[in-house]
Amino acid sequence: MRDVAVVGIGMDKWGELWEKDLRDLYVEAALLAIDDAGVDHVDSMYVGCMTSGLFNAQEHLGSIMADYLGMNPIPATRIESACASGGIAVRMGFMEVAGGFSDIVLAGGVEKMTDISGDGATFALATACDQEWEAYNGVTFPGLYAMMARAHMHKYGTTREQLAMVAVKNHANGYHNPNAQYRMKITVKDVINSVKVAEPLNILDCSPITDGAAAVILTTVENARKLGKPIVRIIGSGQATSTIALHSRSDLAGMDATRFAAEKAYKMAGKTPKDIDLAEVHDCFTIAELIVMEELGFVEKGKSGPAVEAGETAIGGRIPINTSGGLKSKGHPVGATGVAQVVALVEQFRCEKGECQVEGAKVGLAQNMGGSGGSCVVTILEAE
Amino acid sequence: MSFESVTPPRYARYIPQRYRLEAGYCKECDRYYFPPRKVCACGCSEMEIRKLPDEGELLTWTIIHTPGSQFQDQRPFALGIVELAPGARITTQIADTPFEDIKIGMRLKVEFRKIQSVGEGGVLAYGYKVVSV
Repeated sequence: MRDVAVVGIGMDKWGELWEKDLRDLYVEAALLAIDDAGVDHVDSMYVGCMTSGLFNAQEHLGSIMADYLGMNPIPATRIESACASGGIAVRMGFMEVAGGFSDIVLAGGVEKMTDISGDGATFALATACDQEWEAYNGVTFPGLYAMMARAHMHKYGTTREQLAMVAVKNHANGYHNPNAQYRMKITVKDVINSVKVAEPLNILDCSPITDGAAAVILTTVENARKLGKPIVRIIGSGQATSTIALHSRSDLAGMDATRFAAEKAYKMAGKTPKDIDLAEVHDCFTIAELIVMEELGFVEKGKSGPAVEAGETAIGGRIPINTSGGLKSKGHPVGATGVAQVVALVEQFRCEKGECQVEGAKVGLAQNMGGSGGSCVVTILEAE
Repeated sequence: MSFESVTPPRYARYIPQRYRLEAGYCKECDRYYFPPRKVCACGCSEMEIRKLPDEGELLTWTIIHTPGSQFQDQRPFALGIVELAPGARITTQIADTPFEDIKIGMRLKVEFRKIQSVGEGGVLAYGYKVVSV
């Protein structure tokens, strides 16, 4: 297996971007990544996207994106694993370069979510849960995470305030990210008093509906040195699944796919949770970040709420999480999110984060999951 | 959006589960699957069809304030995960129960109810909801 490095990153402003369509978003991020890497060609490409069919009535994204990048006839493959589509696109690119099938791979993700109504978006996103046995009966994604939150509060005594503190921290970080969708600082009181979505979760516990894309260029470490780029290696990659329906899981306050994916990634990287300097995790809802912290081994089961309250995951804390603002503040164009997490880690290693810089960070972890946790991919990066 | 329609074939296919709570049962590990499936996680593929008990325990719950378009007329509504038998859990609305009375661990009973109105014609789709015992 060949050593693989991330040599190019590309991401533009995220938000409600009415003037841009699906292909504009992907192509812009891809061109930024290609320019950043300084490569003159790409051998193969991936497009992470959850549901352009429902959001934009457009499938067949491999062809359209390669076409609009002027890259026909290279192979281009669309990856779908709900909100984990982007992270898995990066993993596929990593495997293709590591396996020797291609030398330079573009791995990007995109979602264009604001062309349809809020109700329509709620429906489209709910296709990532079990359509017949969850959605048919009226559950929504906030509803599923709300039930996890209630189970976590009941089992471990996690408080409403601790949930809110996740959002407060991520907005404090996103305030400094020029590409973030919602760059405003919020307070615990703001979160608790915001509009109810699915109790106990309010609107400020939820990641937003976002248009956006992100892309990375992957190549061999040998090639990266020739390009004169700072070396950021992918040293671990793990992927796992769990049941599609939340109700089928033995622990409603846990996420076993994240635990299994992390175990694989740690083993491959030869690292433990203690070796991780910072992480970008899938905070689609505030409760998600808490459960994920536990499943990644950053804290013991049930201790994530107190850890956030003690500032352990803030910048300057023991393990800074979501220094980019996370899904909560940066936005969550579902297919792009997993790629943007890798972009955020590389920016940290390149010391480009200004106010949010984690000094001396060398090892970072990205955790990206689909649905209510039915799929997960964990990527570990190390800077030289 | 036409995708939201519960079409007649799709509706008819799930009548044994939505009307009668028919589940798969694995004798090897004394475990139920709802809906039935071909294989058990233990590897056994000899599943028997058994009707689930119509009473169970509430494991977790929420109150949905922003539902999908088919449920707008019912907002806000309570919804939870109820365990009816080992391994067999349902995600279902908790009907006719004041929100302040809902508690994890409470006993709930399954009833046959209208679930949603489908399409522009508003055709009714049925299934199960739970009420307090």
